[in-house]
Amino acid sequence: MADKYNAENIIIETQKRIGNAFDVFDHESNKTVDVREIGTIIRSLGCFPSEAELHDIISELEEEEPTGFVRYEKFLPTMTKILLERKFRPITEDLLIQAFEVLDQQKKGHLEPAELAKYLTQEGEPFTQEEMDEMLSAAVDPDKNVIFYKDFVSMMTYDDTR
Amino acid sequence: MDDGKPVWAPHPTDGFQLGRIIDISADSLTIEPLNQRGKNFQAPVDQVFPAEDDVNKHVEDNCSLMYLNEATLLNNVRVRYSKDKIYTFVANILIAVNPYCEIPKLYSPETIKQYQGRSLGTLPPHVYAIADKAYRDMKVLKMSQSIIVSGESGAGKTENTKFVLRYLTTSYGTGQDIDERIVEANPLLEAFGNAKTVRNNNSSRFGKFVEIHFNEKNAVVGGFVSHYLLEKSRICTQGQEERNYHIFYRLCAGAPEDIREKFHLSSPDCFRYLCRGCTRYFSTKDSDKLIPQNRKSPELLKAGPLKDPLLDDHADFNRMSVAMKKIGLDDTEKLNLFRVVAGVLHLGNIDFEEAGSTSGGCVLKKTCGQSLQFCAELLGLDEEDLRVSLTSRVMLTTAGGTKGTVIKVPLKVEQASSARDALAKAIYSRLFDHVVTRINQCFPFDSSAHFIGVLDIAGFEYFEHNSFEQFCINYCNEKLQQFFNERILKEEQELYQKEGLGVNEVHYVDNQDCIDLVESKVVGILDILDEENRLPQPSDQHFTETVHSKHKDHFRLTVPRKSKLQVHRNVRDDEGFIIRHFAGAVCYETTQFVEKNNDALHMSLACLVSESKDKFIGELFENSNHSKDTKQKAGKLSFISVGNKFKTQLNILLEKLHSTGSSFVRCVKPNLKMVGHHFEGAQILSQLQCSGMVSVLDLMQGGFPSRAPFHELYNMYKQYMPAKLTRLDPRLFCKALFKALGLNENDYKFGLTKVFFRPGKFAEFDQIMKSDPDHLAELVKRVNKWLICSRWKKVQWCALSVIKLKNKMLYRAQACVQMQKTVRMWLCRRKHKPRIDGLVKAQNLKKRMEKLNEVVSGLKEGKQEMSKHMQDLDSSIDAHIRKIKSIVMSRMDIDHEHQALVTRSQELLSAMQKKKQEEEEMERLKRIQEEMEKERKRREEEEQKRKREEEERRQKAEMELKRKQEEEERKKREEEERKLQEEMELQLEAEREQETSRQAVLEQERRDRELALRIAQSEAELIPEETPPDAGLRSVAPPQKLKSLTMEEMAKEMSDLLARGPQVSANNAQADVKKYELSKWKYAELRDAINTSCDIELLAACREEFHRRLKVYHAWKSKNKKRNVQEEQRAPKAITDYVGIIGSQAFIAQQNPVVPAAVPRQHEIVMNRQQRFFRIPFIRPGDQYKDPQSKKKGWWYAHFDGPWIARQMELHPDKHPILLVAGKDDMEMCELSLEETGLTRKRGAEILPRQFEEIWERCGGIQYLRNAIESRQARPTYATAMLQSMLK
Repeated sequence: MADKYNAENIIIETQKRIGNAFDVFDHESNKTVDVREIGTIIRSLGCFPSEAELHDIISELEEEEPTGFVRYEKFLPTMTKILLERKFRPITEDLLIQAFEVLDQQKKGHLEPAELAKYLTQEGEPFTQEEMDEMLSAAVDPDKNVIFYKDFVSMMTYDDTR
Repeated sequence: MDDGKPVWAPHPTDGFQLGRIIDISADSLTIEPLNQRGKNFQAPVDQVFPAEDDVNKHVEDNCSLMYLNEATLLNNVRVRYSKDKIYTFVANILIAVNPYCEIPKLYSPETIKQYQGRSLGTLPPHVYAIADKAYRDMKVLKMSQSIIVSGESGAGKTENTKFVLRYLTTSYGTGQDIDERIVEANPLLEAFGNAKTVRNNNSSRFGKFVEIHFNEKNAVVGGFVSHYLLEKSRICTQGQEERNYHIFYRLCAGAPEDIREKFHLSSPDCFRYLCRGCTRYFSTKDSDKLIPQNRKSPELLKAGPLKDPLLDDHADFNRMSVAMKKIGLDDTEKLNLFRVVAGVLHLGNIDFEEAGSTSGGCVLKKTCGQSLQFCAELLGLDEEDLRVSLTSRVMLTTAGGTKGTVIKVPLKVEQASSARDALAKAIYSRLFDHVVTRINQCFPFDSSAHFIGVLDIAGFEYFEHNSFEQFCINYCNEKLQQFFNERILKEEQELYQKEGLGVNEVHYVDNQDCIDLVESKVVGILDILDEENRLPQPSDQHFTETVHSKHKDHFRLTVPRKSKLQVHRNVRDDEGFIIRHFAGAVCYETTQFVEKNNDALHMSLACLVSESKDKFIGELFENSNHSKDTKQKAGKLSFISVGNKFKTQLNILLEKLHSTGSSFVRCVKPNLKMVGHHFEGAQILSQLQCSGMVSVLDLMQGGFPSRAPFHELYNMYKQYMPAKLTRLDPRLFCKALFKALGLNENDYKFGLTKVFFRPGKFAEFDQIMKSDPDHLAELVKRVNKWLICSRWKKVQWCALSVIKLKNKMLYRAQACVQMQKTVRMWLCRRKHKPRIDGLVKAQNLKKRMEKLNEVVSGLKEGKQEMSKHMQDLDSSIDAHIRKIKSIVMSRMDIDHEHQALVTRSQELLSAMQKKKQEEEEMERLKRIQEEMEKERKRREEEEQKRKREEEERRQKAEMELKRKQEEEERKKREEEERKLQEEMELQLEAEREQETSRQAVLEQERRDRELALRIAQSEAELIPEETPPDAGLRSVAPPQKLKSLTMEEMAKEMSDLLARGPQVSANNAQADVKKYELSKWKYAELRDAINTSCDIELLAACREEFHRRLKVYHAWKSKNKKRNVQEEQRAPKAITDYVGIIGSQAFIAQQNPVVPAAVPRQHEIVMNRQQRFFRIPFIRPGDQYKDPQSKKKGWWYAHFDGPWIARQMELHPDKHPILLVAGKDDMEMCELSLEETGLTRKRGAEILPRQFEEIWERCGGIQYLRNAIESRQARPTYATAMLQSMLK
């Protein structure tokens, strides 16, 4: 009975978090959100899906006849499952630093903004210029105008308040 | 050591001898000769070389040997010489040892035909092969060639030169007279330019460069002879066992009777210019009978004729006459030559005595009247003019007011004798010039495409007494040696570098400083000598003093009293100087340097001969007529510098050599007695070293001396191949050939434009290619197969390359995805989480308002007003919510607005309370207040939580900052250590440079000593070298007889003795002295000390000495390892790299031994018994990425018992573990002490004992060690003690 009670509480708490996030983007307060906001909602809940993974989720949520909107009662069970199964967890700090080092071929310990932008806007799942600018505004050291990616990775990790 | 394999060790007379290494000292090895068991001796480490497995094996190309060093070279030459194989190749350089006897068919016409068109290595080595190579190089490369025949006097240079000339003219001549004339010129040149010396019966006393010129069709069209530096002093005087030029004796011995009478000739002892040397003829029994008795000297009658297979004065006269005829000299010309020679002899017999008059002059002796008459007659001079010119000379002066006044100056006896000799030298010298000019006229050529030049010049000369001639000859040899170094060593290395072969650099000693000492402007010895000649009163002593003062600290120059020979030490500082040549130090006595440097006759003598009635004499001196006017106008004595003339000639010669391709023949003299089948190893070794052959061996060991351009190989062999293959480009064609033939890839390398072969391999390839047609057909099949495989592999390689590129791109994209998804999440949370939180709080506030609204609806009075206020607040909250949803607000803004709404709700609540305090609804209001208070508390808690979270983030940032600071501090410390390391390396480098310089000086001194030894053996007494007395070794017990033990047995016994260390506790006062002398102790002495000593410090020192000797042994073995053998690593690279630096430090420390600070004995004991375990990979982590395909990673484990290793393991993938224990496996284990390995300073290298023991047990170490203990092969260590106690 105690375990069941705890499990139910966890589910309720999780669903409440989902509802809270969903509401921010429910502009008409009619329990629906624009499908293009699904990624934002999922990431705001602390998940790290790639674009490919995100497309899979969206295709699962959409109606048989796409309306451009996702209903809350369809979003809730899918998202609850994702959170409870702890999918799309962040990669470790070391691995993330290694990813940066792949681009830092000379192992200098830092990257030029233009250098990083070239890679992230052209390869992988390319950033938009807006996304790139947002990242650089946070990542670039104002004094030396380079990206000390270890510091940047540490900063992103600190903000993990999940 | 080394399993008792034979090694070559130095020997005083044989050069090297076979022996075995039985002990290692500080810087030498103890050698036991194989043929004299027990008679051990010490040899320097760098003079001991490994021997071939079969010492009786010999190879035609020395580079085919497995070990390329001077010892194996000497042995190869020795074995071949004993089989009458006098020629040996060292790559493309031919070594020719003088046989001093006839070898049947070695130079026959059939042999000449055999060598035509054959590449080097296809036939036994021969001077004909060198000649043919030069011809084909000229033909193919369209470039003139030079063949440089070098060697010291008596080595056979002239004979080999003649063989080359005969080969070229016989093989590639036009079949006309001109070919024969080039060959027949030699007997004539030798008659006038060769003489008997102590070391050589037919010594060329001049250098010559014979050019054979070829036309566009590569046929002989003519020739030209340049000559250098005829030894003029020999004309007037010779050593006791030497002779003048051959022509004098051939005239006396072989001239027809009518010529003898006409020229007034008789036996040699009747002439001053012959009687002071050897007056015996060369002749055989038969020819001796043909010589009339009145032509024989008393010395000849008493001692009999001289014997030489190639010399016969009587018969050679006839051969010379025939040669003269063949080159076009008629009888008149022949008589002219003979007449002048006879005239010189009679001139030499003119003598002088004091006149007795007041003028102080001299007159001819009464007995010399006939000589004067004969001389004048033969040379076409007026007898009275000759008399006057010899006893006085004329000077022009303007004194007295009358211009053109001629003053006769009487000459003293000494001066008159010098004038006579000067005249004789001038006449003979010009006669020789004429002979050469005449010879050149016999093979003229209008034009030529190329030439092959053969250089035959005197080799390095050193006698008991050396004068100006030796000085010039050795200066020439320095220049030629430098040319050899540049051509063979420097240009070879440049070529390898240009072609990208990756061959290591070979060091050779540059002799430019010696050349500069001689030929520099102003300060060079030659210029100093010229300046001295120009002084009013030139002096040999002053010249010598000037040389010493201008080069006081020159390494190459020293004073004679520092010589190693007694005879030189007596020479005063102003009478000579010693020059350290590349081949050794030579003492020059400067007496007559000034005179010999002047090539001009004084005026009266010059006028005399230029006015000769004889046309022939006039022609010899006709060039003097032009200079006569110049001299008169100048009004001063004339001076023509012999030294600078020679320097000019030499530089012209070297320009020619540099413009040609070169081949080298190194002639070697086998012994000093000039007899056949007598091989003096030390003499030959010295000659090989002096000629730079040792450096050649070093280069060839790692080099590729044969090479051919791709297109040349293509052109050579395309006729053998079908069209399918000839369509390939030359490089691929060559590659296909080599692969198909199955050539060992170590035997050749592909450069950018050429293919390079190891020595001897090109001939092997050539032979395969020219085999029978059936074999060729098989080759073609293999070539086709190889081509298909090659193309398929290329396709595979391309595909794999593309796949690799794709994978690389995917890998990078994956990294980007990881970065992108993380950043996207982070940006979203940063942007929207405040909105979510704000919305939650706003919605909670709205719920409170609804409850509050319910209460308000229950009020009676003021309901309308309060309801309006509530609606306003509710609208504000709704607006706030909509704002959060529609606008991206910052957390601060959201909190600010939320706080404002909460404040308004509070105010509203207060107003309600004030109005309805009396209402019965107070209980409900109280409940509302509680809920509001709860909301306030919730907000406070939330705020505290957020602050706490921020505090945690701050703390985490502080931790990270601290970690970063520590990281930076560590990097800074590492940087400081790196700087210290760099400084240390710089210091070590400086020390190494100093050591290199010191070694160079020692090497020079060694060569000086060897040269002095050779002079002493033949002529003079050697100063005994003062050997510092060996320091007496104080042994605590009488020295025992040294057993003949193998190194393994020594190691075992040493292990047993060292085990006593921990058990000894008493001190010995003598230990401090002995400990530091251990490097000079022999193995037996070490053993005795351990047996009887009870000092733990001494035992520790013995252990250290033992390991040090192991290091010396391994270093020697590594240096002399077999070629192309990839020795497996005995320790990971990280350790050996570290040792490279530490080893140098240790070496320096040994040079300056420092007494270590006293350490408390107890502490030392603890340190010595500490057990430490280490593990490091064979490939350093940083090196892994350099070769990602190779995932093989081995581990190296070590257990150190105190400072020394006790157990060792090597774990390699796919291999059995290698287990090693101290004692049994000392030869294979790491011989370094723990400190020297640097393991204690390597991060992550040290491991726990448990970790080591687990692996050791798993690999079967316990059983292995147990077996070693039971067989008494393991040296007692902590490991053995633990195992034994466990087994009990």
